[in-house]
Amino acid sequence: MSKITDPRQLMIQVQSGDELAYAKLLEIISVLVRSFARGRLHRWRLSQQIDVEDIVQEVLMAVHLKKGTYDPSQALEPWIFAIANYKMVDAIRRHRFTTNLENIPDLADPYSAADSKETNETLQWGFLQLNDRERELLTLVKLNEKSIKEVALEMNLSESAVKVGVHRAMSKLKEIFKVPSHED
Amino acid sequence: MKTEQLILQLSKEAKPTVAFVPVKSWLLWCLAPMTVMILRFFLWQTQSPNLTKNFDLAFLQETILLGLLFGLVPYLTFKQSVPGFKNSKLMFLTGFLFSGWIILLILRATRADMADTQSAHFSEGLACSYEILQMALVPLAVLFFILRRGASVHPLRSGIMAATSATMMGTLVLQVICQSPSPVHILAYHVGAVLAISLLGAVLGLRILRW
Repeated sequence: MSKITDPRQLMIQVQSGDELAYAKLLEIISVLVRSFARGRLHRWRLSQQIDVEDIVQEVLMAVHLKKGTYDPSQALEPWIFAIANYKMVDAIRRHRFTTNLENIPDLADPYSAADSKETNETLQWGFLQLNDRERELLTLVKLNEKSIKEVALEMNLSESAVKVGVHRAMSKLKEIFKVPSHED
Repeated sequence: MKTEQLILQLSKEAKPTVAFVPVKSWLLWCLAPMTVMILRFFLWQTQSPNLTKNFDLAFLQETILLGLLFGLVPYLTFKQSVPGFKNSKLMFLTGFLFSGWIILLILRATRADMADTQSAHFSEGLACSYEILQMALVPLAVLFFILRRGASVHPLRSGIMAATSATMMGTLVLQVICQSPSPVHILAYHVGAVLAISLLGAVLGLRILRW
């Protein structure tokens, strides 16, 4: 095992391909990022919703992919914390998006939603606000659980057009049901 | 997967890394707009230099500012692709020069007489904007290609700066060859084109530079 414990020195060794130094550096980074992310999530009251380990792993992956951007003449910590911050913001954005989707009356499971007549009517009303194409896309992707590729073939659209269409339809539904976001 | 397992897996993939050096990348990228400029003069000469142009102090000031911006904006864009980079002085200087260029033009426009401001013809103007766009396309593509090797933690800002960098050579060339001396023309069709392409850069930056 490498005897060096200075992260900067370790990173210099890592850039030249040292496997042991790399394992040690990743361990140090994971400890640093874990405490950084835990503090931030606690401050933003998101520690229950977002798993710290997810962020740590994302940062480790990012370090792995972008280690060439580290300049050995600079301190390592600002480089790591900038990446950690970037990945945290990403995680929070993703969390907000999924939370908003989850707040929409159960689209993925329409049968349970249909248990309540009122919910069913609300859902139907929401669907009627969408245009034909959006309705069709949502029905195929979300209700019939078909893959993007299948829907693209069926509707003679590109895969990205299907993705964009579904995304827009979901955003429109969110607007219709006025799901409160974190900014509200 | 547990973090310990990921560490083990990643460490097995350790290999010598090719460093991303912003200064080297910047110098390499400079070849793209230079080549486009040379090609523009030899291959698709749409406007010939306006030799009757008034090469006065204002012209000199604007050209120097543009020259500095041509060097500084892409340099800063590459520097920004390194996480943790913070140089507020350099950012301030670039912002100062860019606003300085626009303020100089506005001041000149307010002083210009009516005949001069009316000389900002639409068709001539569009030709200038189109030429800036044409000259920016290849440098912008090359710039995004190189920037993807970096790790910008501000994709939006980097996208805007990349697009602005790509337009700078075209703006500098048109500063010299443009037939219209009117500051209103420059504000509307040169600065306008730069801002429009920068907006495009913002959209592209968010899509291309995320990692």
